[in-house]
Amino acid sequence: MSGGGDLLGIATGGLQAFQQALSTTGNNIANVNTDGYSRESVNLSTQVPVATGAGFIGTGVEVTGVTRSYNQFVAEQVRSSTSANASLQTYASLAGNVSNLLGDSSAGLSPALQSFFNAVQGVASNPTDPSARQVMLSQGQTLASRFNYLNQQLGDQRKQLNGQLSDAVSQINSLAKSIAEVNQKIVNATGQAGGQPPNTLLDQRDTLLNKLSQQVSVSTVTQSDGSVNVFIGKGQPLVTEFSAGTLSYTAAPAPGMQPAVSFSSSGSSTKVPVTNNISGGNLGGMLSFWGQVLTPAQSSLDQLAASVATKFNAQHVKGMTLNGTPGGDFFSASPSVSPSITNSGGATVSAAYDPSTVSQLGASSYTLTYNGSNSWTLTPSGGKPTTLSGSGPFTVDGMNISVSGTPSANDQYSINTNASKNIGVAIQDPANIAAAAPVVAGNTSSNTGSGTLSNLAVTDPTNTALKDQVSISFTSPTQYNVTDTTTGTTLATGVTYTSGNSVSYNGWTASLQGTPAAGDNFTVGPNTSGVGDNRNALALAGLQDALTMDGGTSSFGGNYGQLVANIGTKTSQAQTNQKAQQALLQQAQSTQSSISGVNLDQEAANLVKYQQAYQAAAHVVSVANTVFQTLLSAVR
Amino acid sequence: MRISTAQLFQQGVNAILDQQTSAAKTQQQLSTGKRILSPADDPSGASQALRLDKSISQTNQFQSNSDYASQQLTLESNTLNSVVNLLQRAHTLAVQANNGTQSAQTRQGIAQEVQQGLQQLQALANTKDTNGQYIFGGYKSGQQPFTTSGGTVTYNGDQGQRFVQIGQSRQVAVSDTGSSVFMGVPNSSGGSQSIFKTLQDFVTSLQSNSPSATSITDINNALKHVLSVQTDIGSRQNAVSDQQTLSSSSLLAVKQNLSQIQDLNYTQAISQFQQQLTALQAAQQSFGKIQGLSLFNYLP
Repeated sequence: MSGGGDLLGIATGGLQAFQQALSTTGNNIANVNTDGYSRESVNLSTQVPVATGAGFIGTGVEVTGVTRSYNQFVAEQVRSSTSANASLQTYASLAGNVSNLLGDSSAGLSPALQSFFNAVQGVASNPTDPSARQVMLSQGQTLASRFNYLNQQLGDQRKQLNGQLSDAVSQINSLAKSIAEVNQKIVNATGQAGGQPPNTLLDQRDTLLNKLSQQVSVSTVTQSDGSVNVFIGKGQPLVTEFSAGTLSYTAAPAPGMQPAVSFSSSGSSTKVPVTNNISGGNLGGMLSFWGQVLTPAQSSLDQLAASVATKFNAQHVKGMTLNGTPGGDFFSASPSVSPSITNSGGATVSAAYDPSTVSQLGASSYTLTYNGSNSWTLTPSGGKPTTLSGSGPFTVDGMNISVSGTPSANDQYSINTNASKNIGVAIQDPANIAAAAPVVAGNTSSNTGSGTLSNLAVTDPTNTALKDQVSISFTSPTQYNVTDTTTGTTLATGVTYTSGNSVSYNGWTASLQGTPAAGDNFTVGPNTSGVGDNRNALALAGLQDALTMDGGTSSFGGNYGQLVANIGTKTSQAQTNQKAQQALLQQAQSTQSSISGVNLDQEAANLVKYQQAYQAAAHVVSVANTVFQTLLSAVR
Repeated sequence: MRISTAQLFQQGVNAILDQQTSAAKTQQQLSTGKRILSPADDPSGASQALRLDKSISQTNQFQSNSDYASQQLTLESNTLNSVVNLLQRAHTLAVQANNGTQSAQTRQGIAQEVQQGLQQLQALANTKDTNGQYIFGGYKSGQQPFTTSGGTVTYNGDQGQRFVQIGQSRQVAVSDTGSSVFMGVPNSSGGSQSIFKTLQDFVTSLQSNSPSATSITDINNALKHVLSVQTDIGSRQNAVSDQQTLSSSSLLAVKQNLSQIQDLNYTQAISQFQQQLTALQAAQQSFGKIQGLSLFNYLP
């Protein structure tokens, strides 16, 4: 072949190529704002030249393919940053809610705790004033209902989160299904196009993968046929070629318990628990918030409520009411035990908070299971089980658990220790506030020595002889006898006296000081009509600053302050990390955008370039025509 | 670096949003006057603020306890002042009665006055506070502490002394028992007797026209005894007012401390706010300028 005839071929080839280039440019311009669109460009290359005696003569241009500007590495970076960012964002925002709730200067627990103890001080100053007593009662109710309110808020948070977690799981499942479907389409389309990449489908799959990594952290492996396998957690295959696995979600049944996420591979019904393996994304953020913030906050609150109630009650029952009766419980917050309906044994289990160890309460509920042969297993919700041997009573995790009757193996009892929910005020009558102490010390007016009996305190309010009249009489300045004159019992004779001696009988203790003389007599007896006595109220007020929490290192208020600081710190860390992660994400997105994004100025320039080339090619057609006409006219 | 059109747009929008977020936060700080809007802003500061809040509330309570203590002690001190006046008058009368120039008739007159004083003393010993509680009854503040039968005054109260918490680790006694004030005063014969009996004995001796120096000594002893209780009350009153001064200065310090932790530094915040607004304005302006530029504007 030679010359002119070919020129027309070259020109039409050029026209076709530039038309395709112009369409691609137009497509780029049209998709300038489409999410996930990767800029496309036509690959132009020279056609195979014709060898002649005079050398190789070019035969024009052809389009060998349309490629998208895409970088696998950057795309993966965007996905991993998206997961990390979404996780922290969810965590920070949820933790921020709890932190604001607990730290609120008016709705938090702190002000209610203060007002209550101020009211106790009010009764201590003026134990006979009915209005001071009424204020203490209503401030006690306020404190209890503040605990109830915070418990309910945490419960609402849990309910809401259960819903959100289940949404996230179903979104992951539907994304996994879509990715499997697109995998199929990509493999088919690649085959149909003779190996040319289906750019639009590839973009679509990348968009789906990005959405998936918003929900959970994923890793991907591209197969030789163009499909992508997606893994979550510790290598659980969420998408394998054209099939998708399923995540399922079980809501947390009780406060303090963890929700469960499990995975089953495509076509399998076996559910593998993956709750602790899942990380990143919205789902990962919610799960770690649940484990690191929500559950600890709930159990700290329960611990504090149980401690306030139990410690306060323990002192309150040592007192005496305005009517002269022994003090009862001020707060009600006891744990409740319910046996399982499947129990076959005849045992009854009862539980109470242990006043001295209550601050070790570890969860909002427990399950006690009898293993047979005097062995029990106590499992805190979401915690590690403890084995108890013997027939009880057991003092464990801040509780006294006692068993009566005969249990059968596998009998189960659930113990509700959700104290922040259960707490209330147990007394209604302000007169029943035990501001006084049941016993009073005295010395006979005929005493000639300078001895005093002081610091009288009740140690065991259940002692039946507590209110007996007791006489301590000195037979010499260094020896005394102790007699219970109510029953006529001699409690001690010839006790050697040293100043500061503590004297403890019948459930009370006191100290003898000074220099008594022979014949001196001291008494401890019932406090009758002692309405002006405030000793127990002072002791109750003293509980505000007593180091009763955290192994004797902090007060009630201090313990709560630590909870607020602890959750505030977690929130603040998550916020800081989120900001850093967001910057990384933006950087990765920027890099991706600079590779794959459309620049309108560039496209405008390309438009001009290809339009001019097209015009020139059209001109070549016209030249070819002229050349052919010239040839024709020469022959004519 | 190549930049895509969407990226250029997004960067501009992000810059504006960021500036808006920080300006909004400063604005919230300015409108609340608080530096810490959420515990996450400063976890340790927030927990310290809770502690200081508690300290303020507690100190306020101690102040009101102190007010109550001082009110009770003033009442007791005033009552004992009257007792002292009464005993001083009795002492004068005892000296007078022992003078040989007195006649049986004048001694009868003195006896009448002392008898009245004795009644007044009983009334003083049965003083009630504003809540209707007997101040010298010990814990048995609801029942009359001193009753008379057959010319003998009996103490029905107990030996309970009431304390009030006026500071974190400071309690003060706000009452004295009737037995410690009016009973068991040493007498001239080496034993002890009540002030009532001292006056009663004096009256009896006058009525039989046989006054003795014993009355003078006993009344003097009673006077000394009540004055020592007075002194003790005075020192407790001092302790209360010391504690009040201490509490109010600590209250001031704690409030300052709290303010430093949680309150906003307005000067700093306002200048920061100004900066943020300027940055926001710059971001908005540059966004408008950049978005206006396009090669398409120059194509035919």
